[in-house]
Amino acid sequence: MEDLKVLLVDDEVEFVSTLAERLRLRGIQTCIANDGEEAIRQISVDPPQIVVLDVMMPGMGGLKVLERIKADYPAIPVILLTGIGTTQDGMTGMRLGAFDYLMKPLQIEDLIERIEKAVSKGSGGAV
Amino acid sequence: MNASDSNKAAFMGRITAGVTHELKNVLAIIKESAGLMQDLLALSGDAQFPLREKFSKVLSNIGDQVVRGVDLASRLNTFSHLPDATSSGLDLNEVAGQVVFLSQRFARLKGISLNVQPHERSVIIVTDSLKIQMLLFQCVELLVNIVGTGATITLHPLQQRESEATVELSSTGNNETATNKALDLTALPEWIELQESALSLKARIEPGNPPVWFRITFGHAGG
Repeated sequence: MEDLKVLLVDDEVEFVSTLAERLRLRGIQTCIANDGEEAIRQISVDPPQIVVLDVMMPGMGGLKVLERIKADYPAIPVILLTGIGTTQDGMTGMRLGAFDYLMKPLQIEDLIERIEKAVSKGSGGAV
Repeated sequence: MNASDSNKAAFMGRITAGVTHELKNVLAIIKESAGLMQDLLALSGDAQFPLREKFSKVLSNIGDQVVRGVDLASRLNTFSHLPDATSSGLDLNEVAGQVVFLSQRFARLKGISLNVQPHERSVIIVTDSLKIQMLLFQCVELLVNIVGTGATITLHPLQQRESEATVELSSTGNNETATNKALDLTALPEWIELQESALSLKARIEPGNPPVWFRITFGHAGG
């Protein structure tokens, strides 16, 4: 887990920074991006092993970001975060290549379990 | 509902859906913040944090209330999408559960509990989801004003025939006050007769004998 690098993407700054700190306390290297454009830029500069991506963001929405990641970095698994009323987006995201989706608020143990599964499935690893 | 009412309902639904989504984001931040405090607490020694037990209890309370808030927001979000829901198959067990949840506070203010006794299988009817919830809500409200404090009102969906489904409303616990009051079904509005022209679904309300106060039977006209 120490070598694992996760990129969290969410426009809710307080949410994403707190979640990042909790992951770091568990030994997971975590970077954050607050919008889709920033996420794409960070991935191009320093690809993470996994992306945790909010579906509903202003500007480039989560599903659009997912499409970009799957087109340019297909080996990076993506876990989507959905809210109420957007679970349909989670299922759409799965069809677009997302590894899984979780509904917010989430249990950190569930997120870590999904991250471990996604990475151990062999699709993790910087491209 | 006429077109104007439908537009108003759709507007209110849309706004409520947006607000409940934001509420859930707020709850997610509270949850993660409380979680981070729990993490930090776990990392600190007893000497550093003499009030550990008290803090743990308070953080646990915050977590419980977040769960409650998420449930409320989720139910309200589901409710807010009713005006734009097309007539589709509905499970009366789920509809009854949703109505009980939404009516819970009004009942609690009168010291009355609400619950659902679901049918063993799904009870599917095809009708307008908003209208049926309004109907059941009105029925629950009527009973809440009749039964006494301490009573429990139960909604019990049943599938009697393939073409007919029923919801029984009964009460237990304190019916003494209630039996002195007449069940006035005229208090219910006219649209209680669900007239879906395309679906020909009707709701027939029949008074029963306490503890079963009345039955609402959903069936196709002529069926």
